[in-house]
Order: sequence, then structure tokens, then C-alpha cells
Amino acid sequence: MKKGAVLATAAVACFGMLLTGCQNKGNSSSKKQEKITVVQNAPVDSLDPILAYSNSSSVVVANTTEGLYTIDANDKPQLGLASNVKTSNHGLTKTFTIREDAKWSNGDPITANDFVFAWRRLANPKNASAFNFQPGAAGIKNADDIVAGKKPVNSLGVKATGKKTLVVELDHVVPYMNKLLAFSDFAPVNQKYFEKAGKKFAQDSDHLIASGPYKIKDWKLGDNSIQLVKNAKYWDAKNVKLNEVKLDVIIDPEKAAIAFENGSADYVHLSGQLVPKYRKDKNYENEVGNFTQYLMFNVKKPGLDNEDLRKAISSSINRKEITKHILKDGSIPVHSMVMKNLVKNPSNGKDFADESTTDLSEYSAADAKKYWNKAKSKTDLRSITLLYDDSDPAYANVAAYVKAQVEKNLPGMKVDLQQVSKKTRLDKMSKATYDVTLTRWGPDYADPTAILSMYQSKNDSNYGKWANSEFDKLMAESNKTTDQAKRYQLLLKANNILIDSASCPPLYQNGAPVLKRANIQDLPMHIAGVPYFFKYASIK
Amino acid sequence: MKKYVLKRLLIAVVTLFLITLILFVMEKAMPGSPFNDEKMSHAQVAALYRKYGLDGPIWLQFFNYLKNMITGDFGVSYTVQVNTPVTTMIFQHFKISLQIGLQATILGSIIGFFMGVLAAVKKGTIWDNLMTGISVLGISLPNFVVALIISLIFSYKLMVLPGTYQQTQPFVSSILPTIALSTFTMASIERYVRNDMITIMDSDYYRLADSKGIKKYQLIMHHVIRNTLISVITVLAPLMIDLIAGSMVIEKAFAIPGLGTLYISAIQANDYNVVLGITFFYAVLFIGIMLVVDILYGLIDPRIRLDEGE
Repeated sequence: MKKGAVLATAAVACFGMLLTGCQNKGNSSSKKQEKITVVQNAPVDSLDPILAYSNSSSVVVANTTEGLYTIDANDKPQLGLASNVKTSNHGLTKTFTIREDAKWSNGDPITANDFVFAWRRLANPKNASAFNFQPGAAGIKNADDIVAGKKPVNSLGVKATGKKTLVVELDHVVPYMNKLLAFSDFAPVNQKYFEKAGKKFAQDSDHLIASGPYKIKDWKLGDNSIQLVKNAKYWDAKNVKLNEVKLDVIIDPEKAAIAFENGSADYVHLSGQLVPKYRKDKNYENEVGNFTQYLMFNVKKPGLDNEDLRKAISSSINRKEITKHILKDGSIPVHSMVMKNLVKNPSNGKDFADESTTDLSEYSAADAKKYWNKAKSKTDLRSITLLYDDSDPAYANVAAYVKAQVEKNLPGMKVDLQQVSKKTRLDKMSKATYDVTLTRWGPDYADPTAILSMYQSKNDSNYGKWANSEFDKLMAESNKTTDQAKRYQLLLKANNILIDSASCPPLYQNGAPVLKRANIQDLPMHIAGVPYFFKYASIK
Repeated sequence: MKKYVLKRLLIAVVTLFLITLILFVMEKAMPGSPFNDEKMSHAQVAALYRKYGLDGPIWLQFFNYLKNMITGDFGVSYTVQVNTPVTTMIFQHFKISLQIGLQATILGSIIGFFMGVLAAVKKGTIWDNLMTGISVLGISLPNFVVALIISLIFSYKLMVLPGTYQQTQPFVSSILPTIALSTFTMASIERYVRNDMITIMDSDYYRLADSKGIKKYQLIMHHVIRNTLISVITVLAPLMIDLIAGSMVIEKAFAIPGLGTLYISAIQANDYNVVLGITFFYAVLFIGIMLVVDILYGLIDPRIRLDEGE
């Protein structure tokens, strides 16, 4: 019996040791292993550069591909797979030379034709890429007509005149073209490899090759973890410091925080509820996030076309209270549709958001009352419905706060709350069957147009149906000028017209509280486009 | 028997057809589409509708879907795993749910069975009370609470087991979910086995066998447990379906990329084909297992006649 007890104890101890050994301890166990684990809160939906839509997917694609341009550690576009670019024909022709040492992870050279193939694939309406507007936005010749099915795909303004020479023809000059070209959907695709992979292309790591700093190992679509390993064939591999980045999907922020604490993750996002617990932690960081949360009015609804009424509602909301007492996650009140840390004035270096007009997005009970009295004589609208979705638990609290503030400051006005799923909210927005909605927008590239262009009267994403000819004129003008200082002023003016209209009063810019091992260096979160590039990151 | 099985199969086909039809119509009636997104233009959404054949009338879409379904093509995912065939997705995710579900079924039924036997044989003693107490706890504690407690202890405090599923360590990371998932099965089986055994031990044939002087051990093994197995199968079949279908709560609690998780994300994303495919798969699984169980009854216990009236 005694012998049995000893054996049982030994067995339990061995099992325990076995399990302990199996636990992945992240980088905390060994500081020099040059490997990190980052937690993402959504699964990968696709790794095809023209179809990868979710944030998690775009992080993987951006780190395994590279285009003519790439985004550097300071958020600036730099030449990537191109070694140089020559501009001619009044800026309408750009000739790129592809790096001699640019290679695919399978050893094939990256050629100009890989770009032609990829860009045509992107613009081809049959592929229905969500990014197919980008070649047109970058000014590439015939792109919009091809997407609309009016011209053949091979008329796209891009051709290979040599193995390493790519000529891009433009319809018009777009000042931020290089920022757009740094996007993964403009990354090359190896035609021979693509055709051989057929329907399996990008479905697993056996049917995907990399052109960027990392490649994917042992993965198939649907897995909840993805391993990026350094791509030895990448032209700049010598400057890639981390050997391995593991991306785990954990949707629940509390579970993610536990994964960080028990050492199986090195970088996790926190929710607002977790901030008080970790605020003093040495691994805690909080940067301003990548979207603006705002109210969007449906100005086609009788009563909401009244600017005074919209201004009354906007002035009655105290943004500071929302960020300080409701969200508590490092969010900041914003007064501009173009958020903080995105764009700087080329003349004086000031932040666009700070230079934006502030009158209408500051809380003022007196202003609210003034506008409300004016509005009351012109419209008899006394009840509106505030639509919001359940994709973030904080929205319900923000909506309840907005309701309380509006009803308090505008006596006689009633706000009903309606919570729906995100898909339903977007459906109601696109059909304009709503009064006012709590919504958000994050820019795809670091330029005011990434936000402001959606308010142009003909833009499909202008769900509020607000239209202003002066605004449209300024936006069109900004697209033509190459003078950066003048362009900045035009866009600032357009932003101010938008804010003054109170058609989409901004509330706050989200916070991005994270737990990040203190020894991880040079892994900042980018506000525009893809949040992280691991190329520059290292472990101290 | 043959006639009975044929009849059941026919009913199954009609049921599956109705499920598909109703769900198909309901999905299209739901607000939103798979492609609702702030940043997509009307032209882009229209192009996606064309690409996936969603622009025709609904009867035509349904007809095409049925036609493809018969050949085993359940379409592709629109948003969750873009362009992956639904059948590939179901098997990929079901494999994970099945592994954890089977482990939980085996663990729960074995422990529950022994607990039930112990409680019945030692009826009225402290052992009986202890086993009953545990099973009451197992039935009344929701499995997510069990999940929270064990992940707090083993993953957070002791740090010996992962609290979230790691695909590189499928067995180690399935230990906690298996335990959390098995508690209800364990408790249910314990109760059934105990009650059944006590009923049998009160029956005349048991008393007769006992009076013949057969040893208690042999009595229990040959006369009681064998008969108890029937009720275990009755309870186990529906429990097992629940477990292998992928418990959505447990999969969420441990971040397991199983079928339940996939089902929820597909519903949230309006990924029509995936929702339809998984529902169809669930229906086949339920109908199939119940049919097998009904047939098994007849084999184990000849008193149950399936082809009554034949």
C-alpha cells in the first residue's frame, strides 16, 4: 500500500512537471530568444493581399509582403522593393527600378511583371476586392474605368518594360500616392506560383510565399494561431531583428491579460475595464488609438436637417466626462474629424487636430440652450432614436450618457436608444433608415483625405447624406495641388466646414491600452493602416 | 427492422430539406448582408453579390444551393475564411470540438459510472451522500463557472496548464476544457446509474439471484451493471451530441477554434453558406446519432421492438 502511494505521488509529480514543461513561457523565460507572442482579438479571414480584410489579417499580410514602398518606423513611406523611382511627363509617369536583390521566399527573383500581375488582379472587377478603389485613388491610369467594367483589365496604367523596370502611368497626380502604394494590396504576386497554387492560394502556409520581412510557418486558414518566421531571402533581412513572431487569437481581453500574466503572451490589448487593474504595471502602455468615435446624423430626416438642432445636441455632450468617467481607457476628447497624431502642418509642425476649429465640439450648456431655442421655432422634432451596436460593450454606456445629457440640456427633447448588431447598424446606415448613430472611422493612410473624402456629397460612405458645395470644392482643389502647405490649408478649411455643420460631431479618439513586455523595443502602434510592423522591433 | 430504418431515413431527408429551406429564407430576411462595411462602396458590394451569385431571385439561389449541395458542394465562406469551401471549414473546426467532446464524454461517463455504482452499492452511507452531493454540484454549477474556477487555479495561479487553446499543444490545452465540459455528464450519469441500480437491486430477479447465494460481486457485475448500461446509453447519446457539437460557452471560455466558435462568428458576420452548412451538419449529426441509438436499443434489449406491428 505504501509502495502504491509513493508511486502515485511520483506519477502525479511527473505529470505536473510534464505539464509545466509544456507551458509556453513567452519571451519572459529567456530574454535573448528574439521571439515574441502578440495577441490579436480577431481571427485571420484571408491572407490573399487583395482579400485580407480584418485587422488581424492585414497585420500578417503587411509583415509578409512588401510593395514598391514600405512604411518605416516613423510612419513615413520609404522605397521598399523598388531601389529608385524616376518621375517624368509632368509627374504622370513613374518609372520604378525593382531591387536586384529582391527575392521571393522560395528564391524566385521578384520582377516587374509580379507587380503588373498583382495590380491587374486587384483592379479586376471579377475579383471584387474591397480594395479595388485604391488604384483609382492613387491616380493610376484607367483604374476606375476598369473597376466599373468599362475598360479591359490590361488597359491599367502599369507595365513591365524590363525584368526589373516597372512603368506606372497616371491619370492625375495624387500627393499621397506613395502612402497608398505602401499598402499590401499593391504588393507583388508571383504569377507562376499563383497559377500553380490555384484555388489553394493563400489558404495555408504551403501555398503562400513571402516578399516581405517574414514568412508563415505551419498554418492553415481557420487556425487560431499563426507563426511568422524571419524570411532569409528578404532583401533587408540583416536588419530584421526578431526571428519569430507568434500571433495568437484570443477574443476575450480578460483571457488575453491572463495569457500575458502567465507568460504565454508578450503583447496584449486591454479593455477599459482592465485598465484600473494594470495602470501601475511596468508593462502597461497607453497610446491614442486609431479611430474617431462620433455621432452621425441622417440629415435627410425632417428636423435633423436643421443645423441648430444638430449644434444643440453636439454642444450638450461633455466629451471629457465620457473619456474620464465612462471609458477610462486613455481615450481623449477630439474636436476634429482628423484625429490627433495623424497629420502635421508642413509649415509649422503643429498637429492637424489641434489646429481644427473647436467651437462646436466643446461642451457648453449655454450654447446648447441657445441653439435649442433657435431650433425649436423651426422644427417640431422632439424625439430622436440613437442607434448603436454591440461590438464594444462601452458603446451602451456612451449612448446612455449621450441620452442623459441631451435630455437634460435640451428640455423637451427625448432620445430613444436602439442597440443592434454591427451588421444591422451598417445596413440601416446604408439605407438611411436611422436618425442618429454612434459610429467610428479609422484612416487607411496618414492623410486628412483618408477621413474627409467620405463626406463628399457623392461618396457612398457618406451615410449622413450631408452635402456642402464649398466642402466638395475644397476637397477637389486639394486633390489637384502639389503645394503641400496650400493643400494642408485647403483640407483644414474643409475639416472646419464639416465640424461647423455639426452633421457628424466627433466625441473621442479611442485609447489603446496594452500590456507589452518592457523589453520589447521599437514596436509602436501606427494610427493609419496596419497597426504593427515587426521589422524594426527587437528585444532589449 | 429494415422498413423501420427506411422510414426513419425518409423522415430524415424531409427534415433536412425543411431545415435548409427555412434557414435559407430566414437568412435572406435578416437585416444586413455579409458585405456590410463602412468602407465599401455600393459598386463593390454589388460586385461581391455578382461574384457569389447572390444577385438573382431567392428561389433561383435556393435551387442552385440545393443542386450544389447534392454534389457535396456547400459553397464557400464570404467573410469568416474568405473563399474556403464550407466543408473544409466544418471538418477543420469539428475535429477540435470532436476531440474535446469525446474526451469529456469518456471522462465524464467513466467517473460518473463508478460514482453511481459506489453510491448504489453503499446506499445510505456517507459514500452515497458524498457522491450525490458531488453530482448535485455538477448538475447545478454551470460549466462556465467550472471553467472559470479551474482556469483560475491551473492556468492563473499554478500556471501548469494553458488557459487558452494552443494549436501546437492540442492535448495539453484540451485538459481544462475537457474537465469543465465533463462535469455535467459525470453528474447525470452518476444519478442515472445510482437510481437504476437501486431499482434493479429491489427487483424480484435480483432477490432470487441473491437468495441462490451468488456472490455479491458477481451479482452486481452480471445482473445489475449489465442492465444499467441501457439507461446509460439512453442518457449518454444526447449528452454526447451536445459535447461533440462544440459547446459554445466552453469554446469561448478557452478560446478554442472549434465548430461552436465558428458557428457564432459566421452568424455574426452573416456568412450565409457557413451558417447553412454547419446547421445542416448539426442536423445530420443529431438525426444520425439518434437513429443509431434507437437501433442499438433493440440490440441490447430485445424487449424494445423497433418494428412493432410488422
